[in-house]
Amino acid sequence: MSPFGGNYTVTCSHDYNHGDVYLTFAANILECCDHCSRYNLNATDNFCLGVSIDISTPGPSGAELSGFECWLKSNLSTLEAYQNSSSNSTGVTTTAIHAAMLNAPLPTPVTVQVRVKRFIC
Amino acid sequence: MRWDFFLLGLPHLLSSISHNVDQWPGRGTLAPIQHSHQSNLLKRQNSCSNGSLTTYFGQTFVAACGLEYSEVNQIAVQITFTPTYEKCVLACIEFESTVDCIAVQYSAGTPGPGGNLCYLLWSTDGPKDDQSPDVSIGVLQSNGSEAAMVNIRFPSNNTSNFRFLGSQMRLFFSSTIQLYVPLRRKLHSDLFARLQSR
Repeated sequence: MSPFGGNYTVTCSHDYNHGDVYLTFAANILECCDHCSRYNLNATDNFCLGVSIDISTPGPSGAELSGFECWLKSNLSTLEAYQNSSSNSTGVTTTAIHAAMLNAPLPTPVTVQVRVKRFIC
Repeated sequence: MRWDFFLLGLPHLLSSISHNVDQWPGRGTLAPIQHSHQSNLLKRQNSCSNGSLTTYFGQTFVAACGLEYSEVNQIAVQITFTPTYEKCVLACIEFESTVDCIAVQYSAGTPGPGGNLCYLLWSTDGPKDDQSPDVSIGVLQSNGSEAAMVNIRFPSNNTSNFRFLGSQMRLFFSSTIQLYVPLRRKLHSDLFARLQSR
């Protein structure tokens, strides 16, 4: 899924509540997964094992920080349904947090796998 | 690096290095670190002293103990893990981005790689609560008179160390030349005058 290596399983409207290891900003869940894989390329321990993106919380303005809060996780033990979910008038779910889990093995520059899918949570 | 800013802060930097040098654990570099008398009350452990001041490079943070932002995620710009509250404040000051870090929230009870959870915050707006005694907030109070030194960032790795030391050496030699050239001119003019008088 990520061009930086690794396949991810996306779980819409769910959140890994704990285990934050890094905070960055991304436009969508795909880009958030890219951040996770990129983080792992430079990590020696405390690898990113998954992400949660909060698409209701944009970062402070500025090109460098454009996008929404993308939390990289080193602990995926607490996947929970996002409680503040709601639906708009057209019936489209507008839950604001989505999660993605990195499928083993950890990505390396040698074993880059490119699988692009379009997820609309 | 903005040299004009750096030069403005040079006298104080040299003064700080000569009078108040502190060893920066784990980095192997000497960094000028100033603590106010009040911040000395803030112990090295993860205890917190309400209203204590922590000052690095002219930026003073005031601590509020047992207080946290209810929705800290909404105003976080970065997270890191630091062994102490002071290091959390230092991380805020060192943070380089298009948006400034103006406050921290340090969770002494949330361990992670390298220390406890330290939120770097870009805003101080938002509800607070006092239900977590292990959490403390530090808010940037003032930039002081050394605001020009804000752009001095200490390196985070060995390569940067050499780059930083190199820039310091260049600065030292350029300063020395600036002092030496006028002196040499004066000596030359004096010598020329003596020769002419003969």
